[in-house]
Amino acid sequence: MKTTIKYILIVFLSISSLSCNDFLDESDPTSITLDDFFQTQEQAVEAINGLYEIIQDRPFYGQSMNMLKIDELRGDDIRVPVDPWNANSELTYEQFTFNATDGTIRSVWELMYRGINRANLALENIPDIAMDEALKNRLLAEARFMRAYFYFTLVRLWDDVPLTTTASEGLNNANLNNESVGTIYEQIENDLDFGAGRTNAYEGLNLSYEGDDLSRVTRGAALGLLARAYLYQQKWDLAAEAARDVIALGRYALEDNYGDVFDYQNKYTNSEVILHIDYHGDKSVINRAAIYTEPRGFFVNEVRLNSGRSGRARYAATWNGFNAFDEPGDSRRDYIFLYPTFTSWVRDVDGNVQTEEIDVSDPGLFPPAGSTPFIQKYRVENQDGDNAPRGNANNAWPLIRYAEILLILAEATNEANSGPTGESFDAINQVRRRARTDKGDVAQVPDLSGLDFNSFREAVYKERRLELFFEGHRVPDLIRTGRYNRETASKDGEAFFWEEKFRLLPIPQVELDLNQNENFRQNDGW
Amino acid sequence: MENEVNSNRILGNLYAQYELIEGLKFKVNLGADFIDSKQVLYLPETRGIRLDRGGAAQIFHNTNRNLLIENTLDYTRAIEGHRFTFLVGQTAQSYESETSILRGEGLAPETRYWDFARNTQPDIGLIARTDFNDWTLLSYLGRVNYSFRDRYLLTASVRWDGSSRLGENNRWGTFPAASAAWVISEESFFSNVSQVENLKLRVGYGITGNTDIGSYRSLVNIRTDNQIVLNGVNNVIIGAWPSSLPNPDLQWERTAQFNVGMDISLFKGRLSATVDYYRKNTEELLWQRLVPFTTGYSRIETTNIGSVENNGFELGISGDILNSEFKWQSSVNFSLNRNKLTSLGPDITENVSNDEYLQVGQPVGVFYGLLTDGLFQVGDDNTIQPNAQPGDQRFLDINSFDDQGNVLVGVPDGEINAADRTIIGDPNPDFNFGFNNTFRYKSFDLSIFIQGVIGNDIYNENLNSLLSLDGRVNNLADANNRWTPTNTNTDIPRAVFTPSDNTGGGFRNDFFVEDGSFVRLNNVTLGYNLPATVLSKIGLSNLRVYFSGQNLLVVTDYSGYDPEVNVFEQNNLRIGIDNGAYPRARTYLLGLNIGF
Repeated sequence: MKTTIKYILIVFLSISSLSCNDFLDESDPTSITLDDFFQTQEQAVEAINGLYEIIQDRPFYGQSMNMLKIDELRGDDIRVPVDPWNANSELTYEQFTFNATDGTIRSVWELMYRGINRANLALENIPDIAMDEALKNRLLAEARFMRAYFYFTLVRLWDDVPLTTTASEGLNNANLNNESVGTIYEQIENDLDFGAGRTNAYEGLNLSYEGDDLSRVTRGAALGLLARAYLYQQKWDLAAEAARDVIALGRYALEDNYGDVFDYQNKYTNSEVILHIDYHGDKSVINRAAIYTEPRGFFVNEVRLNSGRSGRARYAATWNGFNAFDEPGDSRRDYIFLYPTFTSWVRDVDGNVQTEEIDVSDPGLFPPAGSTPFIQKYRVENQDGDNAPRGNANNAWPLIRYAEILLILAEATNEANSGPTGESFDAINQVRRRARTDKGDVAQVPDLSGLDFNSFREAVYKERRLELFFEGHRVPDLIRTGRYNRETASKDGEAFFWEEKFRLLPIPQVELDLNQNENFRQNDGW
Repeated sequence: MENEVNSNRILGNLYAQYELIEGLKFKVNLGADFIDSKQVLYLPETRGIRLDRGGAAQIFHNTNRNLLIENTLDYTRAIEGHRFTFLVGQTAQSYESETSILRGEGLAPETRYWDFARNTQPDIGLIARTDFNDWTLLSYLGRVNYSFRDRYLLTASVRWDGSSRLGENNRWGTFPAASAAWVISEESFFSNVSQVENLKLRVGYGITGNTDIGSYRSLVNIRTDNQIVLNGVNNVIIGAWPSSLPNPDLQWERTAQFNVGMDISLFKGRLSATVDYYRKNTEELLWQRLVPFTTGYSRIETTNIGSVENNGFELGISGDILNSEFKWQSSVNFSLNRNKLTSLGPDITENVSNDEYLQVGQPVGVFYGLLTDGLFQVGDDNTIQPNAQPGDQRFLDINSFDDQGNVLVGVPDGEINAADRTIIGDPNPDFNFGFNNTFRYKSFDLSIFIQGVIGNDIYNENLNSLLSLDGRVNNLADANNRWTPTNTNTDIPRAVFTPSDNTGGGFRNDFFVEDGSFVRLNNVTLGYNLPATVLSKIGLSNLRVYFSGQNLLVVTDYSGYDPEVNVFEQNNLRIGIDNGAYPRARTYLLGLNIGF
């Protein structure tokens, strides 16, 4: 009996002496955790790739294209067309009925701070990883570029916003106060200087990439965004200098034809695009600029023309925007709009593509020609031999391109010198010459000369409007130059309920509700 | 079509007990619960929903292992009416669950089921998924029971629990409890009170812990995504980021409960009653807390925040009203609970989003939004809602913001904004009751169960779409009574197609709040038992035929399908919200019980 007791006690004691903490240790076999992460070079690269996921995400220029609601529909060039497809959210931007609880605004705010936290986390952890030093610097510069891009988006839409450069743990980033516009821009410039190679610490981001890395940010992109950030702050000399630095890289040139800039087949061979957001139609990482600008279908005398044009019309131009292309021979108008004729196509029963030229002045056409000029700047037609699922386009979205850099140089030199210099004229005329339908006909989109300060300024404003049409520059340009008002917010004279407060977006209501910082406040008027 | 579920369960319990000396017993208890279940599903192409998509087949396999070991040592000693029991012990529990799913799509009609994996094109049709979940719990406990002549009962206990689900720094919790009871009816001075069978007073206080959350919540998973395009012509690449906000300090939720109660039984047990009062304070509540987006996240997946107080009263009376050939048993229960959020952490009085609202001093789950005051009519001054058209809802301007962004209650500012939100409803009921009656006469029995919930509000979000007339969903007939220039005496807003801010800035409003009180005839069962004399002839021990109806009648003012709604079952902060909730079915059941 004594032995029995002994055995029982041994069982009891052996179970009791199980180390408590070993037994309770938790590890998740379905996922690696933060503690295991940021250990290897591959993980460092993956963390940076996570920043590209942010810019490719739906709310930005992806499936929902929320940035275009904010940056184009609030202006005078773009509106929701007749016969739209499920465009309720777009209508609230066209008509200024959105408010602080709006999902579009919240999604962009959320996305930017999600990206900022990822960048901060990478910037805190990557320096400690033992890895290739050149690659490490490149990754850090990519993270800093992205952080700068996110803050630039925030500061231009909301003015003062919370600023953090530390990764979140617990509630350290929960109750931040707004920082001034100047402070935010200081951070942006700092971050961009690093990738632009303007610090002693690093020679700057790669000038270009190969292989799987084609769409990463380059030194040109860092300099380009820097030029834009200076332009928005009206630091004219610095903006001009950054633009000159982009040009001096010698890597960029205008494409011969305007349309080649946006041709998806040219997206990796393009000489003009400095930074784009890349998409892949088959992988559900998509931009819908093409399908959202396509009409839902045209009908002639109530007969549907074909199944070819079956877009989800949410965005079209105003006549005001269309008529701004008023110079003879401007190839941009012909490329951007479905006008005066357009090609309609459809597959016949044998699977062959049949095309048909449609005249938009046909009086039996619906939507009628007088309703809104449709845009075809971003196209899916015949993509991959017309086999690609419609709407799942491989188009890239241009974020920074050389034509914009030239126009920044033209504007900044004019402003800095109280009048255009030779450099100003040269820059703007490069853009204008490329716009000619017949490159040899100097009467088409003629060179500018002899303009004074004010008329040159107006000329640059107009050139930006035309050259960068429906690329998300119109409303930001109106706001930064003090021209955003009831008139420039109206659509073909149809004035909606516009007030001063629309120069800025409202801070999302949920953010105001949750942020406990008593100085954190809504923008004026909202 | 084939859909077969096979479940094997092994439920084992094994114990050994040994009396070391008189009254001192050692017990080892081993419990094991293994469940292995497998589903095979085959939907051939000929099924309507599979047309043009080919057949589909799936194997779903889940294994659960739950192991428990308990070691206890207890000692009992009784001396002259005093009785002591001491117990110390240790328990350890571990749980594991594995799931794997293999699914094939687009199968040709001639595919044999067990060959589906080979007949599915790997790139497009074959889906394989795996999942795993585990947790462990380790406890040490001690308990003392004392009683004297079954009149005075005392119990004191303490346990230390450690849970793997909590943060590394806070896995262990200490949970003491004590209770006392006095059985007055056992006292000698009570022996001549013949009407009272049993009278017992109870009082207790204890702290309990809760970790009823998913596993791995204190860890931060790295989510990877292979949908990033940097060279979209050829391929996509992998990116990675943390999926939740780190919270290494996740700890036990603790509830301190005090209760006092009485049990009484009269007239040889024909009438009995139980009455209880309790007060519960729950601290370090385990919640998914919303956080500002500046953190890079929208919520902390699980965190400990704040405390809630519940005060409640429960009464149950049951009696045999008639006890002759015709029997009538009846029981009534009544309960009320008052719930109040007492803290949200230092310096925080509110946690607000459009869907969830918490305010210190208020019950959990109150609805928060704007107050409405009918509709705008033609010619009404609309300066306060400049976009409003006749037929749009008019909201009340009750508050404003000061320069610091604080709400000035009761100071209107001439506009409708976030400051004007207030509490517009409370989904917590005033009280619940139940009333059960059973009648028996000879071989027949009839039972009727009525249940009621009184005084709760429902936020009827369905109305948002069912009255909207945007042409995308079917509408209620009430939409015919919407405001039109010729039908102005209504509270249903005009038809709008395009969105506008006339819906009140996207905030909730009291137009959607309805009284959710109801009384439900929950169950009626009529049964017939074959008499024993007949049974013995046909060799059965029992045969019962019954007809039962469930959910037969609901008396309520609620306009939706069913006042017992809770669309967000997983979220105890979002209660009483009806948005496409599936109503309870009315069920009729004809049954036969046979015993051999």
